[in-house]
Amino acid sequence: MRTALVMLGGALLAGSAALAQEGEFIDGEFVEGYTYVADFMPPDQLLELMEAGADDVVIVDTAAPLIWEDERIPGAVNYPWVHELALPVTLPRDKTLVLYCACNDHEDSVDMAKKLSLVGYLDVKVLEGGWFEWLDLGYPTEGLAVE
Amino acid sequence: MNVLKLGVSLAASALSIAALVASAEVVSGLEIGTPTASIPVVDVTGAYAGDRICYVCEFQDDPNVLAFFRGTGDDTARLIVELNALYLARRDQGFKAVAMIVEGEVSKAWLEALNETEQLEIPLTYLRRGPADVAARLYQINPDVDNTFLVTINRFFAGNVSAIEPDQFDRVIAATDEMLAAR
Repeated sequence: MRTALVMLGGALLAGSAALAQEGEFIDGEFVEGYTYVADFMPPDQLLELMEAGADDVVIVDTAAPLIWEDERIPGAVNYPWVHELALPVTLPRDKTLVLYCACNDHEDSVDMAKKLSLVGYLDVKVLEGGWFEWLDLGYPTEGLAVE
Repeated sequence: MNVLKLGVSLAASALSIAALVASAEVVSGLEIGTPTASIPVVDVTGAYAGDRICYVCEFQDDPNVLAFFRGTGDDTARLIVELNALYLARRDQGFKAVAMIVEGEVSKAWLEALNETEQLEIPLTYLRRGPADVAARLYQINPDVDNTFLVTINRFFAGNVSAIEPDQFDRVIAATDEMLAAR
């Protein structure tokens, strides 16, 4: 009986500890119950911003450097997908970041957007449809393969 | 005399070590431990047939084999059929696989015919720009090698088997099983 009570107590403690772990560290601070939800930007909106010369938007290509060099959205900077972000992150914090990847369901760009949000980036968007949608729409690209 | 014996013994050991290192060298593809970057391919027979797709992104952390083939032909066909059989045998463990033909769009009709004949379940794809495609360079696919099997999990390369004959496919099976057992 005593053994059973001890085991039950242990199980309850373990359960409450697991519950207390729900959440994420955001910019070094633990936020309980945090769930990342991607904020998508449609490609036509990004194109409009580019054509308007918006200087408060930074387009971020999450592909490997060789892929980025080959072909990218004009003006996009390269910040490749990684398992763990290398700190400090060199992307600007005072601009809107628009991330994209060549994935069918935004896997890499959403993952990187989440990681950036966890180190305090507050204005991170994901390009809806990503690189493939951009190409399908016939929107402009630049890079070695285009020259 | 003893010094001479020791010298000969050391030389023999050094040669043995050199031979071991040489046999472990990767002849095509990235080294074990390297992260897998996303690479777009053109899907011919998979769920995204006709579209560009990144199967590295699609598979994510799942254990898988990314198989590159320099071109089409009987050996490639046999190896793709073997890879499909491996997928069928291990899919209950979350295992996935994709075949990518490096030579590009010229392989499209051949892939469609192979799929029709063999009723394959793994996606068959090709590199859009052929051997010059950036994916081949990024993954360091040796253009002189017929095939490169990259065994990956959690978006890291866990095994690399390349330049095999169809009757050596058991090396891919062994590398896959080693990966599955280690997770």
